[in-house]
Parts: sequence; structure tokens; C-alpha cells
Amino acid sequence: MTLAPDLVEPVVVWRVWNVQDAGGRPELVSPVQASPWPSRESTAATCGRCCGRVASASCSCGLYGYHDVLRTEGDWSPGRVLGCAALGGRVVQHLDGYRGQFGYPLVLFVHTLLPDPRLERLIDIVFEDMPERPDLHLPDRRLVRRLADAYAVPVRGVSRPRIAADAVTARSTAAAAVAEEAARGLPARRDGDSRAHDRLDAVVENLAAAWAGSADR
Amino acid sequence: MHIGPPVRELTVEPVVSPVPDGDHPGRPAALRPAPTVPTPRTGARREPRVPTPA
Repeated sequence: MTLAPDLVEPVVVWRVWNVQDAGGRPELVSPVQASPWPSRESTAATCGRCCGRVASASCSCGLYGYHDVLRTEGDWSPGRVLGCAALGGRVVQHLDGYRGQFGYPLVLFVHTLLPDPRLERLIDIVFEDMPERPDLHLPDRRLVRRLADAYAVPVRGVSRPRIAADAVTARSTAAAAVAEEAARGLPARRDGDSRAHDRLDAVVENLAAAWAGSADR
Repeated sequence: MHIGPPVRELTVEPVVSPVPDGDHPGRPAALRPAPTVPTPRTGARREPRVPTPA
């Protein structure tokens, strides 16, 4: 007898990763267990306690994530990546999040330390008549591009995200829209539907704007 | 990561794999092509600004 699944769309969670170099390619790594999330393949959780049934309600193993992006923002520091991930297989729902058997990132946001806009304008003035202007963003731009190439998911750099207590609703709502569109639009994006890509781009930009502080102005 | 007490166990089988190459291993992932950024030719120099008479 085959049991029908409870869900046919992935469960979407928010979490952070560190980035390590894996033979010249950036690789996401869990900050707690230091276990890698490989690119272009599903990450399969393992159990160190040998529960024999990964991501079961009776154990604590699995790939973790929160329901709400606000729970992850405190761990999002420069160089770290925050994003939503799809969980599948056996998934245990918890009060504030989920843990699952398999996972893959859906959308990634890189915390960058891009220079202050005033410094950018000053450089524009100083180098106005010079043939080459220094690109202070180069390392961060490279990481964003290389992560997108490696994982083949949308990656957005966010410069000095503003995690203010007065705009939690804007960020939480914008993040929920990203999570929903990332999961719902997956079949259409896979088929190359440009409108589905546009929809995801729009909600990703909206969340980035919420971190930039423009959504509550 | 403290996600609170467990509520229920689910079986999740996405119809479309979230792994970009998961459904069509022979087909590249459906990502938009990166926009091209024009790079100046080697030795190209920006023309100095000519002040416009008032």
C-alpha cells in the first residue's frame, strides 16, 4: 500500500548559513553542525544518535528552519547568508519552525558590507575623469554571482540590512510573500515562465527594500 | 536553533523538485541569464568635460 503525502509543495523555512570554499566554489554550511548544503543536489540530514529514522518526532535530528524570518535575523552577520529553504521527505512541524529530512535553498540573501552611499558619491567625484573607477563592491558582487551560479537560485546582496524593531511587520509580511512565491511558483519557473520569475524578483526586491528601511518610510 | 516543541509529523513529496537540476538532469537549471555589463575597451578614456559657456 502506498501512503499519500500530506503535502505536495515543499515546506519553506528561514535560516542562515555560513559560506566556505569548496574547491573554488562557495558552499553553504550549517552554522550549528558545520555540515555542508551541497549545490545542485538535495541535502540529506543524518542522525548522530542513530535514531534510524531521520527527522522523526521522537528525535531532534534533521535540517532546521524557522517559520518567521524575524527569528533568523539576529544570526545574520556580515559574510553570512540568510535565506529560505525547501524541506521535504519526513518533516516535523514545531511550534516555531520545522525540521526536515531533505532540503535545498530557494532564495538567498547575502549580508554585505557595501560602503556608505556618501563614500560612493565621493569616489564618483574623485574618479570622475579617470578611466577606471575602483569597485569597492567587487568581493561581495563576486560572492553573490558565484552563489547564484553554484546553487542556481536567486541570490540578492543586501547592504547593511536594517533590522529595526519598528518595521517588523513589513519585513515579516515581505518575507512571507517570498516564501509563498518561492514554493508556489517553482513549477512555472522550472518551465521557464518569465512572469513567474518576475513575480519572485518583485517580492525579493520588496524584502530587500524592507531591510534597507525604505518600506516603512 | 530553538524551534519549540514538536506539533506533528508530515510526509512532504514536492511534485517539482526544489533542486534546480533534479527534474531534468540533462537540462540546465532554469535561471535567468545574467544581464550583460558593458566593459570599456582597453585603453578607452573618458572624454574630459568641456565647460559650457554661460
